[in-house]
Amino acid sequence: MPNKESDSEKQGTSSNKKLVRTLIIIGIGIPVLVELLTLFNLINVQLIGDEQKEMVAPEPVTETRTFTEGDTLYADYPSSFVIEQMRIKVTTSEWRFEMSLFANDAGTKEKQIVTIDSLRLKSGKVLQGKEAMSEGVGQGISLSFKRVLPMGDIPQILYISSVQRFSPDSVKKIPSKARLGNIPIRYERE
Amino acid sequence: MTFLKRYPNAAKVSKANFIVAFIALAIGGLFGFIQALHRTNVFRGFFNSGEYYTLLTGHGVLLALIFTTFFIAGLFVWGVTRSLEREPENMTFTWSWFWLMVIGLVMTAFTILGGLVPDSSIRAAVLYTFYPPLQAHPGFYIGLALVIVASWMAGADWFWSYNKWRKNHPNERIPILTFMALFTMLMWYVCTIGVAIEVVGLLIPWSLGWVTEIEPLLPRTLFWYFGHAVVYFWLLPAYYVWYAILPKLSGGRLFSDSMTRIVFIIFLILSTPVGYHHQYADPGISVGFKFYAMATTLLLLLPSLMTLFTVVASMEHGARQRGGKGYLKWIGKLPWDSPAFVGCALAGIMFAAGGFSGMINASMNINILIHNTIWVPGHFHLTVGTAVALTFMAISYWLIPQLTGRKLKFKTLALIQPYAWFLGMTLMSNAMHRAGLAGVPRRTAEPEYSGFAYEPIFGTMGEMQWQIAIGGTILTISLVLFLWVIAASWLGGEKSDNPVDDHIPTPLSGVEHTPPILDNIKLWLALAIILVLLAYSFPLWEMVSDGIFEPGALPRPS
Repeated sequence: MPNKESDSEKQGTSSNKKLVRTLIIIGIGIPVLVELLTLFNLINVQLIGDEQKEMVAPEPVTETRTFTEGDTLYADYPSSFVIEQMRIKVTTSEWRFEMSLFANDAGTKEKQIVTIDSLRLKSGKVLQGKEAMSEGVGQGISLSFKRVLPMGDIPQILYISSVQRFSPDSVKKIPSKARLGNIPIRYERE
Repeated sequence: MTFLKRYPNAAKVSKANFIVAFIALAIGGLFGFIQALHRTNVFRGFFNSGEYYTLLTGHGVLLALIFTTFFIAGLFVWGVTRSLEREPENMTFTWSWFWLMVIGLVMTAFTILGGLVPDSSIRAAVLYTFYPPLQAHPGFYIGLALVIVASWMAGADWFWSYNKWRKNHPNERIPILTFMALFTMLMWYVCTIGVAIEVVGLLIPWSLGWVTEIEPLLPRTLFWYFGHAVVYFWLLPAYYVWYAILPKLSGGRLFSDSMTRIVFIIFLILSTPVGYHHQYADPGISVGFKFYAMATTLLLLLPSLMTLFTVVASMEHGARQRGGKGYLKWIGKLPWDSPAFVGCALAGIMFAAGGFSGMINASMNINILIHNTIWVPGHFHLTVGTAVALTFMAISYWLIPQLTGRKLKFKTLALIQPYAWFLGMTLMSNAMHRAGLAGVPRRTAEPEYSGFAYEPIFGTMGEMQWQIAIGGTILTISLVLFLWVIAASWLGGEKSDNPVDDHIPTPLSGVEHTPPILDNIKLWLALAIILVLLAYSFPLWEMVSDGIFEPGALPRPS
């Protein structure tokens, strides 16, 4: 009997030792390996350099024009519109996108029409737009656009169209897609 | 006889603090798991990116403020009671600071979690640093103020015990467990002045609408007056364990009593006047004061290096008592099958790594390289996230049996837990450091930019993101193991009059070799205050001297 007890004790001690060994290999060995690999790679890159990277020419970056507050839409067209204000206003209960466009084309002979067709958000959702028309000829136009956003979602692309007169006989509705840049987010107390 | 039998009142208070600490650990840890999956884009189905900031605030506040403070309170109640051999002086007072801390915690947690309730006006997604212009519900700030005030009461409780003990022991040296607790609390009193002024004087009136505007620089400066020292408020209790208990767990004795006291004195003196190293990028603070802060910060390496020496020497002594020989072979003789020892030892090893990345953060010019990147969370998950948290978890395996009178259950799981934590944290923190060097920002739910690709020094962004997610998952599993073992042991462990060997031997170089001046509390406190005045008085005066209605000044009344 005493031998059986000491045998089972020995087994328990032995399996405990195996467990500890395994834990040390996985729990300490892998971290040490990860850190050594990191050190090796850092030294490799910083001191020895990466020849392949040096030989490859850097990829050209495509410039993407974005629009923010103060920018002009339809700048190359007879009727252009300035983004007077473009903000996201945040309260405890909602996120709200607010934009106002303004055009002061006193020289035009037509009423100006600008339509926000839709607003595409970062999540892929699309919000409905709005149309605005000037009160009279040469009086300019002001369009105020407000939409409640899903919390945390940011407008990315503005789909807009405006009626442009290119010549006495030529009036066209020109659609445009404006990629929006950084939109200031402002917190409002309710 | 267990601590429970000898000091039942203290055991009850200690346990109460630990229960709150572990609940905060569980919720905060869960939030961390969700964050790790979300910001790496591995899985974003739990919450949306707007709600991420509520989770992030919850993770930071519940772990770095609530779990730590309550655990420290429980630990110090145990340590002071045990070393002075007396129960708390007045249980009404003792319970009142505990319940005040709980009330503050509930208020704060309620306002944070309100952010997850749709259409709720109660929100506090202001992150753990709660800088203006981010504004939380007033309950958040009031709750935090209550926690701080209650912690002052807790410190006063321990000083009360010490004063009463001193009357009966006029010529004795302060017992080391009490010495460390008192010096930790002295440092806490010095550093919490800043955050108390910020919260009570500025943020609460602002959140209630009594003032309309706040200039961020002053509240930020007051926060960081507190914000670096608070990390030592967390770290010193881990040192408390490494100095007082880890040698015993190793089978040996503490190498030197005087080295221990010197280290705690240095931390009292230097912890607070270093706060500007968190504000290197802030305008409005002169580079000269930032330089002063850098110098004092680098001096703080000294007590940690001293600790490295003392603790390793103590462990070596223990290993050799267990038959260890040779220059390094003795390491194999340490009790790598003891969960409490393993957790403390691995926490200490990881702290060394955290210290190295901390040197980068402390150095004013190099700091700019990693400022506001995910390198910073990589650093503090090694220090508070492991050196402190893993030590606290590990020592719980040794403390909880003493407080409950029950043996530890599921010892195999308890043994696996610290190894898993070490593995998970290495993976996660390693990737965070590398991502930070590539410029990946911290504190954001979606670190990707459109039309821009990060350039890691080696490897790919995808690899690093998966490494963070896998590391975070392993950490969560480790946390679950810990909570399971503690809950099972607490509720169903085998009752015993001697559930764990709680004897702590005397140091090799004992208190008889320790110069009496080290116990001169007033001297060291005065020195600490002088250094703080040198660091902060002129810059703060400059910030408020423009007058109440001028920019850079105190908030304007509405």
